[in-house]
Amino acid sequence: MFGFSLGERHLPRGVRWLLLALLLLLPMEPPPALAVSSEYKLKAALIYKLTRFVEWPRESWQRTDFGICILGRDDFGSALDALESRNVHGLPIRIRRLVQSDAVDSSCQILFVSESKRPFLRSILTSLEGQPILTIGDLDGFAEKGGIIEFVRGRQRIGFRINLQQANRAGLKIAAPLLELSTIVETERT
Amino acid sequence: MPGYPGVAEINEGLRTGREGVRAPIHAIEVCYGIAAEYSKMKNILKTMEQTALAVSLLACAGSVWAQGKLDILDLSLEDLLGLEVSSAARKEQSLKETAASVFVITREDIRRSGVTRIPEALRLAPGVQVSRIDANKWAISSRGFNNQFANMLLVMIDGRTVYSPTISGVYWDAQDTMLEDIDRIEVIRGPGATLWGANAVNGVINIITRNAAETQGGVLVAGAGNEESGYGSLRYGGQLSTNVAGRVYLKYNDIDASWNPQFKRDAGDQWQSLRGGFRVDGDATARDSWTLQGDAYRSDEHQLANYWADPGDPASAPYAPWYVIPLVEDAVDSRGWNLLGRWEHSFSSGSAFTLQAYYDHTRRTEAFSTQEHDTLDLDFQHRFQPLEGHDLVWGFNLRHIRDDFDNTFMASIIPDHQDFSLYSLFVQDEIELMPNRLRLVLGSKFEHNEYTGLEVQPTARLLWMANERTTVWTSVSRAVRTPSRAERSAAIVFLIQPMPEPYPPLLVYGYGNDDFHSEELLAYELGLRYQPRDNLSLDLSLYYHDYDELETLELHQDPAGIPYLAFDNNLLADSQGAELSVDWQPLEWWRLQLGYSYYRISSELSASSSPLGAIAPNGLSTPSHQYSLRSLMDLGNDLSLDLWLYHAGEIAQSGYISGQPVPAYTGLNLRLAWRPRDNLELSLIGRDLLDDHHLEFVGESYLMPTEIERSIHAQVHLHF
Repeated sequence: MFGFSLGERHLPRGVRWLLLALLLLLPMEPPPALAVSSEYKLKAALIYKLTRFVEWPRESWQRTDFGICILGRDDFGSALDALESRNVHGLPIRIRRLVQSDAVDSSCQILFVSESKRPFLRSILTSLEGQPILTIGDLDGFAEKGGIIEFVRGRQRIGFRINLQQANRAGLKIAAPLLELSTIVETERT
Repeated sequence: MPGYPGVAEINEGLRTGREGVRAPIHAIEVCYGIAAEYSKMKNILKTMEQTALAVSLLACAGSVWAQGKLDILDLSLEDLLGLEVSSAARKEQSLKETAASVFVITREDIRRSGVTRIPEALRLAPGVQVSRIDANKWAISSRGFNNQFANMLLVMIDGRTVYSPTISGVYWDAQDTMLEDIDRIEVIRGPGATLWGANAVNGVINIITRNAAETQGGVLVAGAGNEESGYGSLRYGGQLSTNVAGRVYLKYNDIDASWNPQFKRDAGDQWQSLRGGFRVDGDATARDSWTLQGDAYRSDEHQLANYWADPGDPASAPYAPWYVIPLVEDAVDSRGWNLLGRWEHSFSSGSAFTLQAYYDHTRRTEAFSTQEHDTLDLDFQHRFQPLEGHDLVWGFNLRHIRDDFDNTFMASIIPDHQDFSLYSLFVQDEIELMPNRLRLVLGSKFEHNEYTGLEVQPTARLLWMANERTTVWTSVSRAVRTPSRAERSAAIVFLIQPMPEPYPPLLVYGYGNDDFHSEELLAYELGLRYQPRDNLSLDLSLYYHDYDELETLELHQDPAGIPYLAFDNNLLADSQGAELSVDWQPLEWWRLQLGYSYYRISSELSASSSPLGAIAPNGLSTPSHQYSLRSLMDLGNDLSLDLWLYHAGEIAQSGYISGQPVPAYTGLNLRLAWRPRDNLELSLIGRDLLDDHHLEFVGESYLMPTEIERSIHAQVHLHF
């Protein structure tokens, strides 16, 4: 495979043993269930999964597809496109990428607000208030600023913070099992 | 109409999705068993075998998981929340918490700049001087000392070092990839030697591509214009198994010639390049991820050059008495390939390690030389928290370089074949003096090379997060630039001087020097990051660089009285400068980015410099003032208009030996993009719109001044 070998001369014995020790370290750790090296791949899966725990008002279902919209820079890459092969309560998922908050309309059942919209987060969320759109974001303080579900990254895992007050205002019902897994927060006053 | 899911469905959703997980674990244990047996068979493992072992272990683990057939979308919510997101061994920090001059060029920045190759994208970072010498050559540096073979910058693509050991500089024409697959380009101005190693004197450029899991599906980018005669790139990514994703790409560029102002003709520097590559990323277990990637490329380039003819060769008679062959239409054939494997493991305690190995082959042929390099590199890093408030990263690196030259009359490297080894160890501790307020970073790199022995490159950095919106940092660091192969072993014809009859012409050579040692830098930096409002942020760095033992070419006379030049370390210099970047988003649809850099240098030859004279790269190839202003406007959801104005001040003395001045220039780039459908974008890009052609830099003496022309091209970007 390689054209030449490093030869023993260049590799002190200590280094050799260190490498070997590293290889042996591995089996001592019990291999856990499954890995996701990509944070956004996991976030995309979570967005999909959350749809099972949220009830949209009846008018949201008078549609032929279920719109998942991303506002701002798309950090998901193709991870989100994989959802297009899935359904939410019988409706096929359609991914829409939006540049400006003006473009958000009733074709979005879920709106993921990207980090790139940080400076305008509060005004964007205020303008969407009362619309039956599940807003999701991973910016710090997203839920306090009026977003409904915030993804928070712990040391190694991802968790939720939910602004229930804002969900009620949007006419969305969130099922108890999801609330049990989440931290509930309120909109902070400015 | 589907309704709200019942409680039963929710509970089912919470619990299902675990089948098929246990079996692969047993199989992985079998893999480890195989590995253990293999290691028993060999009493002493050589590096290559260990690497091969690691690779086979990964491949084994990967194939086992392939049988698992678990789609992450089929997992229950509870299981998803239990998944770990792997942590990196080499730390990823938020910009706000970094005690260095860092600028990150994002994917979005690259896309909206309309650039078609990596070197042009680097212009987006304030403080980085990107000057085009001609269509296929760039002079790129930060904080001064720029020239065609600028050698104080460390450039890496996905952890693979790409500077050429012959010149310690980068052949930018050979460095590229599918731009749409780049995640980000981290640009660190100032020394980064403690973490990254030799050559990271004035800066580090770290090009990072996306994980294959994030680049699924197809992307086609194609375009054509007056200077960009035609280009196209195609990528396709797919899921190879449940936990393994891959992509392949192919990229082609055909670039038109620039302008030769002296002869009022095209500069004969047109070129084509074709490259392709792949990247496969997989998760072997929840705590182990791996990457295997590779590229291969070939460029056919042209250059119009003046070369020396060998007076000793009867065929050179027509060129007497000066022995210059003018306007040679030379071709550059540049090709190479590389293969890289990486394994990352994170422990439940939050610590992590990365083991990486790569092999890189390059070959470059032009009239005066053929150079070939084979590099094998092994890198290990481990990050852990030994005590409360300490975040420790340490690692080691082994690199072996084999080179091979075809020498010519004009340039030779003696001996023409060499094996060279480097090994290094580094350790860095980040100490939380006051939690989330005051942080101290102490570290050093210890690097051994066969030319100069052990080099110690320490750093001390202090970071003060005064409040939510203000960060102040300061640092002192030492960095060295180790000798290149040319500085040690070259013999280059510098001048052929006609002599009166009956004497033959006098040949003046420039020679490498066995005593040439490392160039040294002691850098003092101070930085401020301030975000007065959510939509406005400011980043300011000030620096003082104190250089010692800088490269010079000293004039000597041999015992027969014949003059020659030899590399030595007789220049002292100190530079001061400031770099500012401001990011302001006045409206949701409008963003402004300002970059400014100021640079000043004074240098002097040391007392040991030759009394006959010396040539030195005195740092005057960088303008005192450079600025850029970008405006990014989303005119609607499907229309965007971007403007990019940049200005480079006058260069007093470009190049190293030619020393030609370059007047100031201002460039304006424009990009109008329309997105009729979610997966389709059409754009029109104009570059350097303000003049027909202008000079940005002058290369080494065999090249003629070449001007860069106005460029307009149209592009299609399709996702499928």
